[in-house]
Amino acid sequence: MSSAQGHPVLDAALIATMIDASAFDGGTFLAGREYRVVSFVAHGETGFVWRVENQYGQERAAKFTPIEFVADGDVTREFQLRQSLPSPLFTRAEDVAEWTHQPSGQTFMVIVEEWVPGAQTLESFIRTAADTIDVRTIVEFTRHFASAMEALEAKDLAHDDLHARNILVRPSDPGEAGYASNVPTLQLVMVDTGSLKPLTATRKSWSDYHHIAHHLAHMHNQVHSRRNLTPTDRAFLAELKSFMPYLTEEDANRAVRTGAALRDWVDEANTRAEFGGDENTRELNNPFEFISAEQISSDGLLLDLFARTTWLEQATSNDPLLLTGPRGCGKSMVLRYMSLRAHAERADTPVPLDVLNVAGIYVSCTADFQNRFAEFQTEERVEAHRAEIIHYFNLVYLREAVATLIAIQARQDSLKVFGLGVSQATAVMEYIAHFVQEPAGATFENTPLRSTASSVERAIFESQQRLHTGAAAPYTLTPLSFLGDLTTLLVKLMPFFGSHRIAFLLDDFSLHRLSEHVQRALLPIVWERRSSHLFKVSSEKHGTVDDFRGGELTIDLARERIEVDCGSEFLTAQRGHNVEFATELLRHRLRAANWMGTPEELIGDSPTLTDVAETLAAKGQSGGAYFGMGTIASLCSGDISTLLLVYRHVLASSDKTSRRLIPANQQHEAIVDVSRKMLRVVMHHRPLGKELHGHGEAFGAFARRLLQDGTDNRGRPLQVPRIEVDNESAVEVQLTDQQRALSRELLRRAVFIAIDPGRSRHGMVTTVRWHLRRIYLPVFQAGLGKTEALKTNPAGFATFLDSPRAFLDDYATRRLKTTHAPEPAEQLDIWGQP
Amino acid sequence: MRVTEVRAEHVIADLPDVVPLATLPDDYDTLICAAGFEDRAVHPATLLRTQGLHVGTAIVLDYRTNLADNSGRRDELLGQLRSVTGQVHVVDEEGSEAEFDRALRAHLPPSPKILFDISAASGAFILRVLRALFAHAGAEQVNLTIVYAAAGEYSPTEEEAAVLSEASKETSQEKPATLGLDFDADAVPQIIAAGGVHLDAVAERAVVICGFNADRVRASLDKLDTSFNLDAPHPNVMYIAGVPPRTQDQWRYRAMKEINDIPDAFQASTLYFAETFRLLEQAYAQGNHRSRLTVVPFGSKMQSVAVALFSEARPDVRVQLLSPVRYEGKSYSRGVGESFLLEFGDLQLIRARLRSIGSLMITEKEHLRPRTSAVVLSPSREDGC
Repeated sequence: MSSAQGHPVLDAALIATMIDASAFDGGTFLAGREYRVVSFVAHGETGFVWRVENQYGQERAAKFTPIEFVADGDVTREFQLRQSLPSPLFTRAEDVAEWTHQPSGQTFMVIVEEWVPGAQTLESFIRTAADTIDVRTIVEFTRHFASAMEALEAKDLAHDDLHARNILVRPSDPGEAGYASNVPTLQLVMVDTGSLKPLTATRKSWSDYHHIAHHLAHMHNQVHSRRNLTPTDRAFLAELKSFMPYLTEEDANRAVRTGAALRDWVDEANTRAEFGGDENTRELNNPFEFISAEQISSDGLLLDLFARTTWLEQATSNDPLLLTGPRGCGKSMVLRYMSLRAHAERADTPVPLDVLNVAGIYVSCTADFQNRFAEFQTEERVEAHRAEIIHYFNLVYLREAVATLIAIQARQDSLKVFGLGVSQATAVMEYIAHFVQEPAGATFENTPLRSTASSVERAIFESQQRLHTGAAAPYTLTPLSFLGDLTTLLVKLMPFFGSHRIAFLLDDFSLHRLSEHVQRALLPIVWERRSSHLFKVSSEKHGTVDDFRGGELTIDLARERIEVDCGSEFLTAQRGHNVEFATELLRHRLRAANWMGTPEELIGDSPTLTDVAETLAAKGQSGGAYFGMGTIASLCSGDISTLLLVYRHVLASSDKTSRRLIPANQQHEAIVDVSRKMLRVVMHHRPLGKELHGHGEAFGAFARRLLQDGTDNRGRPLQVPRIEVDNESAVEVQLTDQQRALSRELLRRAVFIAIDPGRSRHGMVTTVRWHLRRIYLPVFQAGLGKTEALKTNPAGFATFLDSPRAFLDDYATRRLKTTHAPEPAEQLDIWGQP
Repeated sequence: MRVTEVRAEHVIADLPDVVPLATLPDDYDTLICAAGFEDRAVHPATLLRTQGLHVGTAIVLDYRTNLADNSGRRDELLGQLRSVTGQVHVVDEEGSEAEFDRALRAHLPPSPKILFDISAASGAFILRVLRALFAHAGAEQVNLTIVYAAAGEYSPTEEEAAVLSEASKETSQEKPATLGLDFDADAVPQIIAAGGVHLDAVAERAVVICGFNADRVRASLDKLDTSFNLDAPHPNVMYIAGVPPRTQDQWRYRAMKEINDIPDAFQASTLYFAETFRLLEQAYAQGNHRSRLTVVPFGSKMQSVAVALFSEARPDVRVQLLSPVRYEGKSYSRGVGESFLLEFGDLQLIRARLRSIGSLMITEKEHLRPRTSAVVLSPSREDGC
């Protein structure tokens, strides 16, 4: 024996002797009963471990400690202490005795304990299983550790030597809490209790919690080194990082020193990482942050802020849906509101099934698809990767479907309302395992759906890599029918999905996110006729392709799919409804940010739109024309983000305690300022941003000129925010490709809002009706109402597209000469009338 | 016991810095350079020739845009290269990102010692080449040196810039917001780094490394989130304006802020890349893992190097470029100014250091360390490691 830094350690000669089987006379030794040595396992600084067999041939581990190293020479102390510790977190000890190596005369304390088959040390696990360690592994590992600490604390004990070779990781056995017949789960086992002692008697520089910090830090680094982490993973790693000081803290009052505290921390950290913590996400710091739904990470906050649009019922109907409208019109808000997962995650609140009607599974093209598919801009490239594109799309929806089931399973009413229990979850997992070949991450708990989610996320990352490199998949990819087959299974397993049909909500399926070729590859999935599910898709106006040419669509788009244009809905809705919506929107925001004031108190009533127009038309008018809730509601063309922006500017000088009405002129200036900014940003759109801006500017100036200089036949100021073109089909035919491209962009970027085609004045053809986006009117001091439309024919419309200023000037000049709207000049040719 | 994070500031401080170049220090296996049209495009190749140095292979990055200007110096460059190397390969901009990586890596010899001349390389080329080389360093040793020749004179002049800047303030669509080197912006962005796994809804954040074409900056931001332009200065957007190293060029920093209308921009050297890297890290930290950060790099060549290092360190960051619609080559720089060297050396080590940012280190005082090799501690800075 020798000593290093004051501690006794084994010397080389003894090590050489004891690692050889010849140390045991006849290959056996006595420790209460006879054991036969099988193989040397390892040695530390203070002892040796041999694999042995008892008289029944059962494997055991025998630990030999020189008697000099045993505290007070008491060979039964450790044995007695550990008898109280539970299996499987601690190995069961079978025998203890003194044994002497006769040739050297060295006496050892021998403890014979349970052999842990198939185990590896934590040190080896972290090193060799690095690919399978993920955030979930860390969470569950920490929970196991917390249980072990609780077991020790219950007996007022500390292990006092919890380094990574004294912790084993083995497959869990049937009957253990974490065991699953169809998923390989793991069990932690603490071994080598040679340093076990009362908590108050620990002597080492590192407590058990220091060792836990050490292990968690190494596991953190393994996860950190992966390139496929999600924001949730990163958020958890950040939580773990900030927790470390509590494990290593010397001050017992601040340090985490109980298993219960360790478990509480990991559960809370996991929840914060998954659902967003208190900071920035759950609460609104001021009513006007998160102008667009994409900026709201927290589903809970999103549900709090949701205001019901007039078209919500159409959106939640049992029909396939195409929801179009300008950016910021609330498409995302509605689709996210329809997400079953968002509601289910509020475990203490019933899911409003009567409102939702369908079971929404939400995926946004802004989140990942647009990045992943950005390289696929040509038909050739899409064709070359078509199967992988479809597979990736399927997997992303599959991930969300599984996440929805996980959220449901965490609810008290999981079985009663949704019919989701363990057997259903297991059946789903087994079904998905046929299609998703990636293994799940290392897991210590039997949670089938979480294992499935882990496999799916790994499969998504693998698919991402293949999309980038073009490599072939080593297994069969999911087919076009995959989502349909999945929903068929879900309906069979959970009749809830029969009465609440699954609706795949696909947000912003627009050409600026996914090229037309990618869209065409996905159309057979999106517009597939299935009794078990349907798709509800949002897009910018003219943002999707419907001209699928592969003959694989099973749905009749014209007959079976309903279309809702948010802009058109808003422009044609009764003003009272729009005011109600705008008020509710603001009221929710004020409430979420704990503001005392109400919309009525802060913004107040409005003049009528005619009064607004007369004020604006009056020569030398001063003071405000644009003010009040009604006026603000009238600025909206379905673009709800505009309303929020206006509120933000109008209430810029208010705060939580404000209850005083914002003066009319102050409201007016704020509205004009927002209008100016909104028009200006049009220039930055690509393609054709500057042209779009030019058309908006020209039409705004035109509307102002007519308001200022003209009256209708009843002497009212002229309000002409709309252009109407007879003969919709002729418009399509007459426009050049360039004009058609411009007209699509004008609608896509919502410079104009297309209102459902009206009937022609001549009653024979439909009329194109474009309304200038209302928020652009205030910068020109134009009215928000409409007394008449600019009426033209297809040729005039083409001229408008090519030379908006010249066309509008000419029209205005002609209009101002009469008290009636002039007929389009070319109308004479078309209709053959004088 | 202390568990601490490997902080970006320490890793950045340990990176090699840019140094003035007098002579090229060595032979190289591979020279990577771009067939640009500026005078400085041929300068490093000239240096190699005049110093009698040799490279095994030259890889010429060939542009597929602005062909009229770029073709002007291409022959001169190829001539210079033939006198210092036996093989010249051309890799162009066409194809996917993976195809570019494969094309470049196919021409690299085993464990290559590479000289990458960025003098005439576009930001996109710098980012794509460094991405490919970092990937290569994952498989085998790569020794990398970057060489950069500054221009003798930059365009436009201060007076020309003032006129252009003033004109751009008119909202009329006929007046572009650019200082005249390139114009407008394309409709389809190029994603150089895809930006990790973002399957859930999170807010967008952006860092703009400004150039002199403000139209391009704004169009790029519009692609990310329209409100970035609407609510400017938007709290989720950080602007970085480059400060040139030469005193006589420093008006360009003011001109850049003015044309982009960003009075509160952060400033970083256009040459010393670490300053930009630090600001990128600052923007990343502000996101707090609850957003998706996109870098929009229109700055200097060395700032593009910073972006490449940053994307290697942070795989969840997206890098998005938007090409101009039109260039004006005659307005570009003239002559050759000072040259600089950035010797990364072993790129595997650089890669490992960059990827270690955010990992945890465990340190313990010598006398308190557990006596078992099962406890693995980190080399600490205090230990001099």
